[in-house]
Amino acid sequence: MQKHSILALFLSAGLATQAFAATTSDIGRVKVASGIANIIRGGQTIAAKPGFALQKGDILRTGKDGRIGATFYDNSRFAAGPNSSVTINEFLFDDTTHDGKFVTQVDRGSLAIISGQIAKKNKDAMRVRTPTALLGVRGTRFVVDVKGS
Amino acid sequence: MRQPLLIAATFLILAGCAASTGVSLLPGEKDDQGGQNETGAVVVLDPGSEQDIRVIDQANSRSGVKGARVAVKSVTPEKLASKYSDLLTTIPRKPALFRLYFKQGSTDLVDPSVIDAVLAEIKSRDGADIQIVGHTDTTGDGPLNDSVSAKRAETVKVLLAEKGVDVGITRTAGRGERELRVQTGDEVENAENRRVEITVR
Repeated sequence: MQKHSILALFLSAGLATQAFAATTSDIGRVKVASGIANIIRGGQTIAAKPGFALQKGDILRTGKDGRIGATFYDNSRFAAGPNSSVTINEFLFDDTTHDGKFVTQVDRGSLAIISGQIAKKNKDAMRVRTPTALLGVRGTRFVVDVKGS
Repeated sequence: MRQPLLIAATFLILAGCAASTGVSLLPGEKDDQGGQNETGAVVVLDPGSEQDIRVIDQANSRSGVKGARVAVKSVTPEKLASKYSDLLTTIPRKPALFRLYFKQGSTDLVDPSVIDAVLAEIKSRDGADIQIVGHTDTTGDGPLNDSVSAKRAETVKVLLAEKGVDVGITRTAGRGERELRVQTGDEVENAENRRVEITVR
């Protein structure tokens, strides 16, 4: 926890000096959406569309035949398959140092991931949780699927 | 009073057992030069201690993970590709990187035509967003270079806006002389370091 709060402090200091044009709470964007594909934010359901800006805490949720593709600001790329529920629990990224933290939770369905700069810079800074596993991502392309929950 | 607890515990265990996690590791993505990036790894961590339980680094494999139990088996690339074809085609395109170079101490582009290639890239992508980061060489002091690099990034943003790009999809930053592309001593002019890097996602 302590490690994390130091990182958060460090990152917010970094962001403060950079003055990004876009809202700093944005963490990435939806690029692909088909079928029943929604973003759940603060209990509200929003239809996922290309260009939609994602934030920490968002849930990617798809129905039968639904799919969502997204690219994050560290260049990580996601594809959520049908009947999926994927929560972005944490996303911190410093453009300068590439330090950060990226924690995703897959509660059901499938998620393909091509990891980006966060995973490249720090071992296990990118993590994926499922109901039965905690995974550390070390620069790779893979698919996680969760069945029977 | 013990029985309800026991029943609750049993339910929890059963609920935990009902779910299963599969991890399929694919070979690394092809790089821009047509080569193959190396296969990385996914590590199964202990949820409590966060220590490694098992490193999965075999390309074209599928693993079943349930807590500390990990079973890895080989799968043919064809089988993985067909099982996940819809999912893999949903992964957004790889971000594209462009470099624009500047004349010494200025916000004048060496070759403004590169902007057209950037525009074409933006148009080719649904829901595109753009990161614009300015840099300088080591001539001049730090604060001056921070300012020059930020102005270079702004210049590119304005050029893109003039060509119809929505500034709402851009993020700009100036990195001064912190991130040299070519390592030099201080107070050294270098054309490759005087640049703006544009990532089109």
